[in-house]
Amino acid sequence: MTAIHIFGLRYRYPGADHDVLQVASLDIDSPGLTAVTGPSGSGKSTLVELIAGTLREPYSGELDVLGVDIQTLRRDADRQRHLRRIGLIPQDFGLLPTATVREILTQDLADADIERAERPSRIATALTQVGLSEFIDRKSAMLSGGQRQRVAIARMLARDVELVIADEPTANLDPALVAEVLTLLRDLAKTRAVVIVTHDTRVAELCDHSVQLPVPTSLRPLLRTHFSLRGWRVAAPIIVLAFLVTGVTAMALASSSKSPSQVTTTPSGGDPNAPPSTRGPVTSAGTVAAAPTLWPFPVQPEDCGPVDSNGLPAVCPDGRPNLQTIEYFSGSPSALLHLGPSASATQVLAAACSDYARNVTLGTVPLVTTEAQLAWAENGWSFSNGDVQNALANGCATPTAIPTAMPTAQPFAYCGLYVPGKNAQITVEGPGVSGSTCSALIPYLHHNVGDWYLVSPPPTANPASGLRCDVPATLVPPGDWGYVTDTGTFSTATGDNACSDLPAA
Amino acid sequence: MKRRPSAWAVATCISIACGVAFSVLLMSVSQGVADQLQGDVNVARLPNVSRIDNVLTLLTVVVTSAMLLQTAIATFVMGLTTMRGRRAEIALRRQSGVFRSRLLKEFARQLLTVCIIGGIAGEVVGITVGQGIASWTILPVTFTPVTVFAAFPVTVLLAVLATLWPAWRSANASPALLRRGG
Repeated sequence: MTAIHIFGLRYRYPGADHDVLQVASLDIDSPGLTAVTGPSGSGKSTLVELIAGTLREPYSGELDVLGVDIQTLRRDADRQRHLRRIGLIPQDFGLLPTATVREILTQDLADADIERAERPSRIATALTQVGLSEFIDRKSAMLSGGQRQRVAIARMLARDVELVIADEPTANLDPALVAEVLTLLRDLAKTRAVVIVTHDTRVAELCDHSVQLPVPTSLRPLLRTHFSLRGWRVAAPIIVLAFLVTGVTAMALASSSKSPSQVTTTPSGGDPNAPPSTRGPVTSAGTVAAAPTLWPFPVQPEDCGPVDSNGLPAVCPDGRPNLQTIEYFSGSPSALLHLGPSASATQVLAAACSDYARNVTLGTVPLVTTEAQLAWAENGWSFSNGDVQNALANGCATPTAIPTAMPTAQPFAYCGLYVPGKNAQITVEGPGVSGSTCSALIPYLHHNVGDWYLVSPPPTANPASGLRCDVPATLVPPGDWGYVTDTGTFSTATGDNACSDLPAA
Repeated sequence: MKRRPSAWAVATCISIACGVAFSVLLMSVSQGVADQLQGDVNVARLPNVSRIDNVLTLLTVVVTSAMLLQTAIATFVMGLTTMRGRRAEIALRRQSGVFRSRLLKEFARQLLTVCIIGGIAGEVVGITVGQGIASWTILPVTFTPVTVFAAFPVTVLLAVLATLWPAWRSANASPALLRRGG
């Protein structure tokens, strides 16, 4: 049975002059667990809201959910009866913080016109299924993230909806809880259609089906306009001033004390949050690649990396190095997104280069998802995404959690920037990566960027460059640019990437 | 869902009670002063009695209107603020399939309960304090059906409007946009 049928769907928010969502064709069957993935700006959350019927503004195209096109339902009662068949789990779980679990579920069942006598048994059964019976009288604000997610799933079970849609159900959960939540969703999907929106490719791989949304074509010129006009008018004077000040300061420092071959980082045990000027310079050994001639940005590899620590022990208690040697390149315009599992020190890595980065934020920072963040990125700012607290708590920055879940695979992250007419480098980082990582990564890269950046034929591997994959300028479409960032797993045991189910490049 | 009185209910109740009490009090005092002045005036010496009477009546009406307006504005603002804070709840419940009519009925019932409790409390306080003023001060106080009961229905009506209007708008909006603060 087809739970969702989409054909030629386009949506734009009221007052907007561009589509935020374009889906040519999509059919989702019931039962089954389907993942909807896609790059930032592809309209994943908007699609979820449209399917769930919680966006009332008109769209164009066909969107049939459970055999009903909600736009044909004129009366409020008809629309609401349709919504009762669908369960939406928003990213914030959709729970009232001041209400107890019992109150939330009771209210939900009352709103769905479930018989009063039937409600207690439904609530008890649902909570038993998600293992939260003992928390029935606890306020949702006092539950952990994983427990709130389970309450949200219990709502769907109690209402016995025909379609469940979950927006980023595993975001902000640690790996153990991710597995638990996915198990619950899988159980739900045995008897109904479950659609989850996720940016996590590992989660998508665990689903029965995976659908990738492209970025609407009308959004690309909008982004460029934003950068070239509005952002530039505001940012240009600041950038010029910043360059002048930075340049004069750098020249003064360079002429007075510093050797160009030295790499400055934070001494072990130092304060990672301290401003760069208060850090003690430490010379770190490591091989630094020659600057690529086709990458004419002001910051060169010598300015940043290799690094081995930033206020953390240089060597883990088990004797392994704290951080892998990583080469990476940044400058304006570019952005480096350090992606990695919890405790993989992505933020520590970013902080280590804060001497040159305009801005490095410690703490969990979302991936580049908004125009504002993209604008910052264009100005050469650095972001990181990870869990520095976890790294600090572990006393070392090597990932330990992921191999437990996937013993034969190693986590990796890659990031990069395509600019028309320039060669691009995709930086791959993570334990166990080698020169062959690039070539193994190519099919996955191609798949991931295929709809957005059309890198075709796939980029050539350059094992000699170690952790860097080169993408010739000719492979970047004229006038187009963008990021490639993602995480995944790479099996060093077999030499094959973990995305074997993805189409070949 | 049975809950203890929430902060918005208590705040709304107190606001309405204060508004009604002050309205009753000041209108009664104003009426008393007007009656006193009319009683003290030597009618035979006045060239135009009706004119004086009109002025005093106008004074009473102005004071009464000012108090009603104050009560109305306070109640209206309270209602709007309250409903703004409950938009997320409306969004979540609409998403779960609750009918608009049911939602509005619930809000109306909650609000009417609060309004009636607050209004009665305000009437009691206003009359009690008014009698105290009449007994212990030189200010004259006259209780009439208008001074005692005018503020109550106006306050309740405005409170209901101030609550149900934004609730109706929220119930008509897209739950997704409401959740995002739109």
